[in-house]
Amino acid sequence: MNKRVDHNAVPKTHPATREMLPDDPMEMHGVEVPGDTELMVRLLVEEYARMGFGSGQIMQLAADPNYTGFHGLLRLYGEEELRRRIGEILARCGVMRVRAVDADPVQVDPVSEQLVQITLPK
Amino acid sequence: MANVYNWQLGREMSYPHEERHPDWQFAFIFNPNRCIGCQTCTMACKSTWTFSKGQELMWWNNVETKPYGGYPQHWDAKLLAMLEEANPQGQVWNATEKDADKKPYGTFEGMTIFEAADKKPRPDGPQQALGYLPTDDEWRAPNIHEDIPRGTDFDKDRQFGGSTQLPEHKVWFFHLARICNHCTYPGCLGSCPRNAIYKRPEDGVVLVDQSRCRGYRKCVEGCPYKKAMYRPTTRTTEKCIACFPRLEGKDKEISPTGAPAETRCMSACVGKIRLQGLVKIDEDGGWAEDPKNPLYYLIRERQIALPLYAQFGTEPNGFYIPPRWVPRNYLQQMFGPGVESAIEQYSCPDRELLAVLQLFRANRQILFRYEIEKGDKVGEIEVTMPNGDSKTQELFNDTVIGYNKLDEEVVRVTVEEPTFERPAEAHVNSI
Repeated sequence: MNKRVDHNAVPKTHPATREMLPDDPMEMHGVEVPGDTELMVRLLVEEYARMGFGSGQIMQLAADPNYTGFHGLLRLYGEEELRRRIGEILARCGVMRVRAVDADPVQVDPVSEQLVQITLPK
Repeated sequence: MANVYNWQLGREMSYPHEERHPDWQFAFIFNPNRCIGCQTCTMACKSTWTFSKGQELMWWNNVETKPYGGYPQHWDAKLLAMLEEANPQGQVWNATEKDADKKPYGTFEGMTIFEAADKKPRPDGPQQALGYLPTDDEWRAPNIHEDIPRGTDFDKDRQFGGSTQLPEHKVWFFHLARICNHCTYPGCLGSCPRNAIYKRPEDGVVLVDQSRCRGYRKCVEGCPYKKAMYRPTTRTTEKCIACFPRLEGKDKEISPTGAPAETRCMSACVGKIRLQGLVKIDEDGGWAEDPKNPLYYLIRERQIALPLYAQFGTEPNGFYIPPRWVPRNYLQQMFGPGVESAIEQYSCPDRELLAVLQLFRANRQILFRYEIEKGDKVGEIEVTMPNGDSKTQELFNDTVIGYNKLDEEVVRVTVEEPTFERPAEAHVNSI
């Protein structure tokens, strides 16, 4: 039996549960940056409206956690409040609409499009 | 070192090679105002070019979240700190004197990566360009700890380790999509001891000659944007090739007549944040005047799209429309002194600007020229200006027509009457 370890061993703590030590330079310490979330919501909604998104589509985007940035705003304000703000902004800036039409594809010379016959060697 | 002229810095600067220029230059504009970070571009690139063994770390196109993210991690913060250390308090712009052709943003009075290299001598002599080699750890994942540091699963038991302090960000700045900037004075090219990197004379695309590359990784060190990437399986560097077969019009499905087509990342963009082009280069290396080219119009005429970290000195050919809600000092560090004017114009675009902005991702063929057919006024909307005030913007039923390199019409986009949503609860049963 090894009696030595009982006196000197450091108590084991699982890395996922150990405390954050702020004076340890190797610890990961995330910081938040200051910013104006009000302005962010207003300008983002205006931008999406320029893309032709209505309130339904904008809310759909916010509800998807994979769109982390805008989804963060939904988490911050809550669904009802964000919906109210979006409605308020869209009532002023409207939803832009554009119509894009591709030109008819140019007909190419059929000679250049000839298929090549591939045959297996006998 | 030779002396070369950098129009983005508004002055001459030193560079390891003599000044030489292509006939055309691959260039692009990204609009982070409308990027939702969906990573469709990233996957379009990945699934086309970098899906093989040894390319796991290669994200030639990546979208990172500012200010928290970067790939490799902290790439810009690290280099900015190195430049500041080399030239304390000196990395400043003088925007008092401008010239539309030679110094559109004023003059950068600080040091570029090429000029600051001498300040940091190493045992094997100074570098050609100030830079660093990212660690394996910094290359490990493209979006780690970004929008929401703990990931999208908010279950506390599953957060990233216990010995970390990662608050949930309430504010993020914007998604920054990045590819190789195919710089006019590339840091990777300037750093290569084997002259294995070159710019194609026909379109300015920067490529690595795989037969000359010996994998010394000087280019990885010297590229300030960290877009040259080392592949351990081949022991060579690989990088974005600007989908050059498409630029050459080789994709018959997109361009049956052989006109140049947009790259994979550009044409996959669902948010329509991207506009790619080829701009004609003058004999003296500047952009030939071509006001009906959408890129020339937005970058040189209106200056609403600005180069990314122009102060590095590589004259990048990727330009960004600065996002409107972000603190200005952050944007000015990233995009230079033209930020205020760019945001002012973008917030309430005039008739022509609004029409040209509709060309973003309008067609997969590269647009070389546009025309506008004017229509009647169709509405007025209220927009938010940079100072927070509201302004009325007039909308017109204008149609912008895009033409390819062969001057064939490929697309027309028309601005129509806007729709307004009324809050439902305020208008119950109203007509």
